[in-house]
Amino acid sequence: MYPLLYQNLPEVFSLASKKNRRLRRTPGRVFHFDALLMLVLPAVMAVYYYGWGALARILVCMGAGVLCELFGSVILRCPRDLNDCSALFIGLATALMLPANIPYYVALSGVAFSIVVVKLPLGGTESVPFVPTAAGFAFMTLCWPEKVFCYPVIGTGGEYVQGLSLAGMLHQGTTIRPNLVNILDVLIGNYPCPMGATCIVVLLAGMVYMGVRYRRAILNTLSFLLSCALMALLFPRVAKAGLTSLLMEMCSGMLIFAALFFMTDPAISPNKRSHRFLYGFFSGIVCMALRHFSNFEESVCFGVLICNAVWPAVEIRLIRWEKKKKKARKAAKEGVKNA
Amino acid sequence: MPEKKRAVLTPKRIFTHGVIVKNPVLVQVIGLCPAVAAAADLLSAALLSAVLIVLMILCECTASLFLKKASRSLRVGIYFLIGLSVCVGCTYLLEQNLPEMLNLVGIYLPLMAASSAVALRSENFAVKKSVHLSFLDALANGIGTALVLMLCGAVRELLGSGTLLEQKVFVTAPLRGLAMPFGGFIVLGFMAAILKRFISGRLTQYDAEMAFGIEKRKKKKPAPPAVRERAASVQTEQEQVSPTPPPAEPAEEPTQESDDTVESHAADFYEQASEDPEEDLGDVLFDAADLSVQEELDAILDKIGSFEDILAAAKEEDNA
Repeated sequence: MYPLLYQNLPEVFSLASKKNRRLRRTPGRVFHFDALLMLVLPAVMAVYYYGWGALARILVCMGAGVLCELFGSVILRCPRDLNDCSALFIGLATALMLPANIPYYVALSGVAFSIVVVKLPLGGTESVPFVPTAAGFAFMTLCWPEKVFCYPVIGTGGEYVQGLSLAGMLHQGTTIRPNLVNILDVLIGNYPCPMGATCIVVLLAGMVYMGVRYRRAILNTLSFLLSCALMALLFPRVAKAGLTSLLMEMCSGMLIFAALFFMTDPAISPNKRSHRFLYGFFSGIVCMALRHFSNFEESVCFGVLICNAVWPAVEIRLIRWEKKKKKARKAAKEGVKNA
Repeated sequence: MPEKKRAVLTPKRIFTHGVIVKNPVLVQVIGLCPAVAAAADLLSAALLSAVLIVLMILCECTASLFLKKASRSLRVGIYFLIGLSVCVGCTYLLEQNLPEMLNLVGIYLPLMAASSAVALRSENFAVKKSVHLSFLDALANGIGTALVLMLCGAVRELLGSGTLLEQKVFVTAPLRGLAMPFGGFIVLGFMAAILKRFISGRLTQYDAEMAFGIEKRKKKKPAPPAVRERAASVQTEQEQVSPTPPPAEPAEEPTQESDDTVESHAADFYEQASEDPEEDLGDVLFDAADLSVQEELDAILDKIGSFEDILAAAKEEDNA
């Protein structure tokens, strides 16, 4: 039966989505509404740091999300459900992952790709096998890497001056010492970075909210962060290993943002707790490995997409293995009883 | 059962099948490598298409003329030899006359020698039919592949590089990612969707033929022996419990049998779910991966409602 899995990958995906449709504890619409609420604070911080330009981009992306959902569902003849807030969530999350000076067409292409190419044709909010926002960001990264990773310096009075982000420094292998980078600035996202994805304090508040609302989903996030932390400690990219490496890796790029909003997507998360933990752990390892070996300064989205593609096959094998183990245990027990 | 009428292979039918209904790239999804990786611009797509058409005609005609009685392994080897000779010849010609074109197609021209599309068509069609039909089939499939490759190449060149036939159309490339292999997959996906829509809308008589292979996979397999035993035991128990058997209903024997099987599955499912809902939830549903019981499980779930209903019923039963 196992070799069939790879011959019939679409069936594996449909199986995973069917499983989630039937067993989902958290309806997708509620999750996306909560995620939207969690993104409000990072959006406020983005407007505070980068001014009205950031607000304009956020609003344009959200509007584009809704329009793409409307027109896309008409063109592709898919069921439309604007009440689930996923279109708004995709628009807002995409905007917050981009720099404040991103050209509008780039952001719009990313949102359109997420909805029209990924979300609607692949089954909609409740059964899409990939995180649409991650796919949209990956598309923008491949098409316009020089624009997606061109971060402006904060507080330059409306003029955009290009700065080097923390992820960029780590990618280039620049020696980072704690005295070169102000820890407080790193925690509040006061350095050249994506608009709303690196304000760690606000994201941690969101994580607490998610922990209260979705106790099972937060397991994905925590295991993802745990494996990322282990990888940062074991394979540091900075001159001074240990805690510096840990802090820089965790705070740079969109690691926490991805852990909070991509790993917990109800359409993709496994159902069992142990599987959730393994899924998060596995994804963390893949993402950190890509950070080390990728050509882009931020590759978390690619890691998430790879895990989305691979995990259903891994999970089926895992379940088979567990089932076999359980059967063997049962048989052993019966044997003892009979004896 | 009425006997299936075999469709007469007319040239029109062969062409409609090769170019549209069973398009090798968009419907049968074979020979994707040149479409996804190499056809990033119109020129290289046209070159690869020309080579593919020649290769297909040569292979199918040879298979139809000389290889009908040869063993399959020998035939496949001969297809590759023909492919190699064509590719070596083309490479030599290009190297002498248009070396820049050779650089454009790179490794993908030699790879055409092992094209799966050529070998598959020769094996599935040419060795069973006459030369005349094989030639037409090779031409139709070659044209079908060529059209897709060139359309895909044109779209990708226009949007991915902002040029068409190396002439500047846009100042900057609108979607640079489409020039990469993943762009090829996306363009092909949309083209396949458009083709499917076209066939469902305009060529309705071919709509059922387009879904070949899927019907075969969906075909219901007999239940495993353990399930059949269980169903039989349930049936005998029911007969023992009810002293007066219900009046025999005349027809629908197979439906009754399958319903029994479904019932026994339902009983299994019910028991397993009520034992340990938290842990066995995934296990029970992932049984669906087992293709032999997938359809039965789906039928059970449709029949007995959602999982929450089952749990509620189990709880009620416990309380009772």
